[in-house]
Amino acid sequence: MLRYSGFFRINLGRLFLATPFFLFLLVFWATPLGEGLLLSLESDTLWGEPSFVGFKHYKELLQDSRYWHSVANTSVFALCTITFSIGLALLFAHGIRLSLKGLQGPLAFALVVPGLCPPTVLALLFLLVFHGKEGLLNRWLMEPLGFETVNWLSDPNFIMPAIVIQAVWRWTGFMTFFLLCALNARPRDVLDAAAIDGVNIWQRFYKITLPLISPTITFCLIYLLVDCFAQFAGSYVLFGGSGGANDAGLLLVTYAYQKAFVGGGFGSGAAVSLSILPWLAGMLILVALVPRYLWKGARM
Amino acid sequence: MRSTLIRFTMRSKTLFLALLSGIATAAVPAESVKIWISSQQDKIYYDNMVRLYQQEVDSDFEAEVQAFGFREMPDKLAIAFKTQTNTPDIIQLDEVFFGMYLQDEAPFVDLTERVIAAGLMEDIMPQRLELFSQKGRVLGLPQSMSAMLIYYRRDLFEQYGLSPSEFKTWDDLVDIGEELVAQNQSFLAMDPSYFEILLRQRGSDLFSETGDLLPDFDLAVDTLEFLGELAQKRVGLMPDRSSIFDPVFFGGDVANNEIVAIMGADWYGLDMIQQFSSDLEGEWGMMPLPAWTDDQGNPNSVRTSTFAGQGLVIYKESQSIDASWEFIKFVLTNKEANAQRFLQGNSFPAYKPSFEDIRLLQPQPFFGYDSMGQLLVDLAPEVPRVIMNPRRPMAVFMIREGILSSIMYGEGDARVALERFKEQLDGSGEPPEQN
Repeated sequence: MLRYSGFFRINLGRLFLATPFFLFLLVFWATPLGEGLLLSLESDTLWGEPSFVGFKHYKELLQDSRYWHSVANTSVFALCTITFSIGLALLFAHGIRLSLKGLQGPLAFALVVPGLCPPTVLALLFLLVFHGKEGLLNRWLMEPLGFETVNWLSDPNFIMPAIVIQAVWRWTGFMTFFLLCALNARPRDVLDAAAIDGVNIWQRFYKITLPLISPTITFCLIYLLVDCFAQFAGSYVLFGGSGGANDAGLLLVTYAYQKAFVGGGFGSGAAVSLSILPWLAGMLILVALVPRYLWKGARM
Repeated sequence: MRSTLIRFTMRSKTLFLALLSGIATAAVPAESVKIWISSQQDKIYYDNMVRLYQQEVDSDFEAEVQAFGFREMPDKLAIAFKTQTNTPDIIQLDEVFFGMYLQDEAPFVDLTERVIAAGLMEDIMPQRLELFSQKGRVLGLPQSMSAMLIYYRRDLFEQYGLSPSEFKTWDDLVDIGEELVAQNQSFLAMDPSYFEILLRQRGSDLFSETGDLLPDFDLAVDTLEFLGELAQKRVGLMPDRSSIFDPVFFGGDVANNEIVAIMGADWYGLDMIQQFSSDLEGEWGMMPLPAWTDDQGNPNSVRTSTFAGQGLVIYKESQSIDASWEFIKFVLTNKEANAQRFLQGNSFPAYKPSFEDIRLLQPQPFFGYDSMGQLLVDLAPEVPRVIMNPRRPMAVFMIREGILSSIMYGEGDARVALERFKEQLDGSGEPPEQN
């Protein structure tokens, strides 16, 4: 079924099979994105015909200190969530591998459950965890350890740790599951050969295991990064659409929501939403490049 | 032969369509007025009002009352207006969110002529009627007086030997509060809305008539410092989730006797306290706010303030504007409708003729046989006006959720926080033209 020869050779049969995908992409991704872009170029008219304002909203964002605050907060949130989630997931995955065979399945499943929980439901549960004096975190952790109770959702010093804890709790188990699969898929002979050659545990982990599972780690990093930048439901429930005291937990999507639904500026809100793209793309490129740089030449 | 067949087919189709159209016309009921309400409690009230309206005014009136959450409704409404899809006819809108629609031409029917013709200019409290207006045009009718009171715990007052008459000024409240703190008892539950409320009690507001943010900046700093001091001295207690509008606050701080009093509007006492603190029936009392004082210590402010409150507006593109107007006029002016709004625990009306209704003035067992109605009627002339501004929703949101909480926790300086607030609000886009 070859219709053209050379570089632009097209197999029409394959193109036909791919058509649903491209249609789906056009209807559910490209069209809303285009509409969002158009909206961001329109005036903040809530009712009636908006006027074309070009890049006015984007220019305003550059001068907007709250916007930059939300960019910084989102970056810190993403960095902390990723660091703790991946670090703990690696630890848990190794722990599960070392546990009894019969326990490995139930343990892995138990860890995955929080990731399957809808973020809104999870945030409602965390309202009880973070609640002031009556909260589980204060009652079961802070007080028994002799620390002063913390108002996790109101004290600006503890708001960011609270949303990081919530995200880490949600995703660590899910990431553990992926990393466990990657660890189990390592070729046994390579590890055995390294052990026979006298390579110590740390060297085996850093020089052999990490390069072997780096594609899975990259996947986890991308997954978490996108989730962190798209974070809304959890913080909406915890802070009612605000960024908490002193805007300590103001994230980019929350700010877009505030612009649109509190300030009545759908154009400005769309501009904030679309401004996430370059930040996210930049960080994704960074995430994709780091493992390649770290284990250059070591990948199997 | 073929043309005959086509003609026959065409005739049959026309006849069929005509029949179908006739059946459809006969089957369609009278146009239903779509009413959007922002709480389940109010839905029950409006369902009852639709029935009452059908009985007393128009038996053909049809209405569909839809209730959404207090926060969800404005979001849904903004989407409906922006997309012009599934729009309601009548909207029960909180005054804070009403401000959001004043950036350009408001999407609500100008009711000025109708309000004048119905004599409501004189009958509704002017400061409340002004609240739902733009450029001198009335765009909505206020449901409630929204006068601020202090709700206190009678049992705890008795336990600590306190009397409402001791709280003449805010200085009195701080002095008594400090004595209670010495006994490990906080006095007043704090909420970020108090900043705006106290500012208004002192004769200022978030915006000036010309749209300036915090027109009396020094007074605003002083008010914020006062609230910060209340919290730092533990006379004021910040609820766990920094809000007195949170059901958890009643189950925790109130139920555990951690506070003695709460500042709230009429609707707060009628709705939230009665709903979430029902086990304390008879243990609540009410008193006016303490007054502010001049340099010599003499009271120089009113004894109440105002915050939030719902109004009824009609969507400009509604196909049932006249029917909608007649209904909201009925709800706002009918004696029974006003009485039921109070008796069912919604709010106290801003419609002055209803102030004489004995049902609104009678002592209430829930409040230890205090008469909330009488107290509110006495305070009504003192209720300050609210200066509306398109940036007000964002300002209220930023103060409520961000700035005030940080001051309560002793984070930073009030003046710096308010300067930053001004800078952020002024710098987050061009201020819209003042309406």
